Amino acid sequence: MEHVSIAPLYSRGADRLSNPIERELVRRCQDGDKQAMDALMRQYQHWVYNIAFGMLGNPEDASDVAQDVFLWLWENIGQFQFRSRFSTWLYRIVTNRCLNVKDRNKRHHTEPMEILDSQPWVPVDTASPESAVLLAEQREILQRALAKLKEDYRRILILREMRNLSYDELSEVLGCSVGRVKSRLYEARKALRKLILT
Amino acid sequence: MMNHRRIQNQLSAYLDSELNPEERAVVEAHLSICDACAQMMGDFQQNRQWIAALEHEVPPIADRVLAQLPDRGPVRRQFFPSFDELRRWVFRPSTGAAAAAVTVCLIVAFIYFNPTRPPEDALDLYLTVHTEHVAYNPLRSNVTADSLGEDMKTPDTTAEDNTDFLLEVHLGD
Repeated sequence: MEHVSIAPLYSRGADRLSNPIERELVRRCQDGDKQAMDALMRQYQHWVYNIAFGMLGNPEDASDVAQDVFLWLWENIGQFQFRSRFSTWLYRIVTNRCLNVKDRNKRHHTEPMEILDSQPWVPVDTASPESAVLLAEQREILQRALAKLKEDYRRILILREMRNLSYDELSEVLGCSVGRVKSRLYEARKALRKLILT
Repeated sequence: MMNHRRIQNQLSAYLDSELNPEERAVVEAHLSICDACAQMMGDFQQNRQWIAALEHEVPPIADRVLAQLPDRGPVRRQFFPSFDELRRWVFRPSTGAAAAAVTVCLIVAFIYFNPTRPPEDALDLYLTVHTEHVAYNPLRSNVTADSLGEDMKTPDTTAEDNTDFLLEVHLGD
């Protein structure tokens, strides 16, 4: 299994349409160029998968969602009109698809969120065995707390903390006002803190 | 000075650097004297780092999808917003507030500037109807609105004055 390193195509704070490479890739995808689609997928598969994993809690569903999203994208990329960042448009599709999967799971009475401790993590700090154990414990605590969090809270926290989306971008992805983003983030952080401390 | 509760509400925005310099200064001053808020801030920062580190190894999704992609020609580009985008635009709070404000303005304008609204004062109404009658009587085509003042002093007896009838029409029965 290969971990793909992602270099962001644009710097944060840059103009939303300032990335000519990404625009060109999207245009070529719209024209039916599979190589451009491949390039886009390799740019975004890491975050699409990790956002889906964060929201759904298991690798199979996350992988299925990521594949569904990219297949849907190939057929429907004509809907992207270059009025926003491609990434925010894509993240909105991913989060909506995750919500659909969760609804479907609820309807079929499957386990809503399963914590898989055997899932491999990207090593962040493995300087010593003690720190590795500590890190694993921290992640387990966090993952369990995230699993108990309200869906809206989990989604906004993952997008903000993992992808570092700005309030404007979050407002675009979640379809709510910046003020609502601000208050919801505070509520989400407070709820997560309470779950971790208890 | 902002109270403890309001400072707590600002901690999240402070963490995201979304406060202006004055607000930041107030929060920082409070954090230096309030252990509870400082503890909360520390927990927020720690949880942020934990979530940021929650990255999993990615399966070869791009390879799998690429193998399934059907050949296709150019897709039709949409130049107009999709239904979903329109729905999100219409139902955002700012659009609703703007629509409500415009509606109120239109209603107020209609009520106060409606040219067909009859004057409330009976004498005003009489004069208005009489003036309209004199000004627009086809038998008095030489009379203009500018000369109405002079004309009023020397009424034309050849034209039938049906002001009373028009007044009844204006009053709506």
